[in-house]
Amino acid sequence: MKAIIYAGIGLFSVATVYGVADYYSSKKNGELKKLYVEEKLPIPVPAVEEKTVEIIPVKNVETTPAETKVVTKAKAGKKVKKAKKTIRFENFSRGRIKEPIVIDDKMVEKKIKQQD
Amino acid sequence: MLNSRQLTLQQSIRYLFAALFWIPVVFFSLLLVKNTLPYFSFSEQFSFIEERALLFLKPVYKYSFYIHIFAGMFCIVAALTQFSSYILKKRKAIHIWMGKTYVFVVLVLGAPTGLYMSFFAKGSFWERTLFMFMALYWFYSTMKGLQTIKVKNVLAHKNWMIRSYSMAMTAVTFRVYHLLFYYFDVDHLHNYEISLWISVLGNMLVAEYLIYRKSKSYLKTFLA
Repeated sequence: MKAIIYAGIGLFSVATVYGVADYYSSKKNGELKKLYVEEKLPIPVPAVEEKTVEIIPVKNVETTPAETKVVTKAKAGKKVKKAKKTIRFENFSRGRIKEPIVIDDKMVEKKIKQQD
Repeated sequence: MLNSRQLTLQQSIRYLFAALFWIPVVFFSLLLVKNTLPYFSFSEQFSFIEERALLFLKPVYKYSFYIHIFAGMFCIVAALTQFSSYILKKRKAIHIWMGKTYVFVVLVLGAPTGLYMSFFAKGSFWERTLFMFMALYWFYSTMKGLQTIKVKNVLAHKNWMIRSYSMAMTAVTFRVYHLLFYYFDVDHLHNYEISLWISVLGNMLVAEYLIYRKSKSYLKTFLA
């Protein structure tokens, strides 16, 4: 049993010395600054209006050469919502608990205006 | 003098309190083991490893981590058998062998790797210092537990092992507080720091209280 104590003390001392040396070398290399950088949640995208011009060929070429149609699509940006937090046993860890996010993928579309 | 009915009631209350203490301890300890086992797939798809991706590039840190979680997992399970009075009285060999393995795992694997990892722990300087203190106290209390039983000082052995177990259990209590504060919307870094401090100081206080309660009758003999 004494051997375990001596081995433990030896390893503990090695861990101290190596830990200090490694910490300072990492600090020197700037590695410590890159550690534990917080990730940010995606920011909700505001609604964007998209305009496309469609050219519709008309059969009667003599009267009007072509009809243009302006199509306006209103795109609702992906809405990011925080879901209600629930305690789950998978989150029973030291690691960061990932926020549950609900992405609303609804697209409000097709407001079609016709233009001559 | 208490009659038999009062004695039965007193004993029932004692059992109830013991159950209220041990049921959550056993449940959360086993939950910790269950959640630790997937790490041995050596996948890096865990939030704990993702956060420390840079550190995991260092082989020493990587090996220390796997040794540390193995040691922690083993200690928590082994310690559950050590506080059973049934095992202590009827199956003493189990207590002795599990105890020897616990001491070996803490002194040679758990505490030294924990100390090395504490230099790169999350949080400020104070959280790193707290992790270092934990490793040191875990090591020291386990070593004292071993030394005292070698000289047949059972009471001191019990007290030091309670202290050692309280440090091993910070892994469990930290996770409980971490989940609770997460539920109450405390942001991640604050949650991490608060949970860490409460788990370490709280466990130490509980350990000292239990030691005081257990030693109370022994201490009274000095006053008589």
